[in-house]
Amino acid sequence: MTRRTINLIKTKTSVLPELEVAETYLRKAGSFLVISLVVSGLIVGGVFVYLSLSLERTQQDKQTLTRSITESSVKEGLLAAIKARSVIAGNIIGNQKPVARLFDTIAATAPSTNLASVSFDENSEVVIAVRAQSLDEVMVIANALIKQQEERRVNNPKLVSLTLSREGTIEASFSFVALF
Amino acid sequence: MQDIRKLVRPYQTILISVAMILSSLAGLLLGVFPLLQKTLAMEKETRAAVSEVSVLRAKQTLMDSMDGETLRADVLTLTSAVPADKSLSTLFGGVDAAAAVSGVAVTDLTLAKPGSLATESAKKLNAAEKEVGANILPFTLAIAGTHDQIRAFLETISSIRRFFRVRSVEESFEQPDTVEAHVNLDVFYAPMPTTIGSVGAPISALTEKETELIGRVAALQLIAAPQEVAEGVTPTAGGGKIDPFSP
Repeated sequence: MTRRTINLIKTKTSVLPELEVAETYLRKAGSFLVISLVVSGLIVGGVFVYLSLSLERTQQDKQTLTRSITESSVKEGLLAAIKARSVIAGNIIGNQKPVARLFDTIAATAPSTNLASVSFDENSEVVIAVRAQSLDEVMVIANALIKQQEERRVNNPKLVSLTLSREGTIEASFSFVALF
Repeated sequence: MQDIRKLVRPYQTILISVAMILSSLAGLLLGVFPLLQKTLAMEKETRAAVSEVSVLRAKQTLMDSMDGETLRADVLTLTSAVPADKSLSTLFGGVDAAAAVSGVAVTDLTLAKPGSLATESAKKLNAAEKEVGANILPFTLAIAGTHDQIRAFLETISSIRRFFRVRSVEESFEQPDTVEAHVNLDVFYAPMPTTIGSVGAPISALTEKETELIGRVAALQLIAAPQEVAEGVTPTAGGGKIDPFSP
């Protein structure tokens, strides 16, 4: 009688050695990807939840602040009006010419007893007409004007006209640009 | 069936590994990456919201730090210098006050383009107006007095709280103590802003320069009682001195 034996231990499967290497790599890759999935899922999920809560809180803050600022819109309007008006006021002040100072310059150039007319235009160009009894008097005025130029109160002084009348009086016109 | 099992058994580990890889990749691609994208978008949204809230908070702090009454007073100060409308009453009042202080006699006053007497809506500014940022109302004055009185008039009118600008002057000396002068002047007005920025628009506090300017304007001689600024609205009108030419 022949003896029959049963081998319950799994015999080595006939897998190629190359496949064994691949199997090892695949098992490692599989484990790595599963762990990656779990870890990244937890991290991303956690961050998502945190950000959701944070966004919700921020939006609540925003609503509260918006309501509060809307209630202060009168103050905001006043501030905006002040800022806009300040710019305008600053521009106007910067554009105003101290005309009174020009009068001082004219007074230092020619006494009012000699003045016949004074004109001052938008370009700060001034023309003064004077009446004098002698040429010396006119020269005094011309020299005073030159002095004003040296003191940088006027620019480009000119003798525009000089007329001797029949009565013997001299009428002269000077022009200059006032420096403010 | 048994044949298939027999055939598959040697590759079982490989197949399980492949299944794990595929399902993990699917999980990453279909679950984690879309969630990551959402998270990144949310992070961007949160950052924008936080920055907006920070602007709002700064604005709120600034609003709380400002006193409404002081702001109202500052607006009144500035609108008394540059009213919201032509405010002819303050124009006449200014001329009248400067004439009274200097002693000149006003013999003529001509408004070049009086236009509407009511509050005008914002209109297009010409080049000269753009330079100052306000509407200009030019007018001509004929005054008589001495040379010194005319000088005093021009000095006074340039230093009162309704802003006047002397454009040109023509003086003729009939006699040394009787001078007639034709003075071209400008007064300014600018409608109040009707809109303010959005709630989220940042605003800044008054700068030192602006505060100093308000102080300078406030120090100028007031020739007209400024109008009250209505509650809840930006001021709409400038000074409101009683018309000096009215009985």
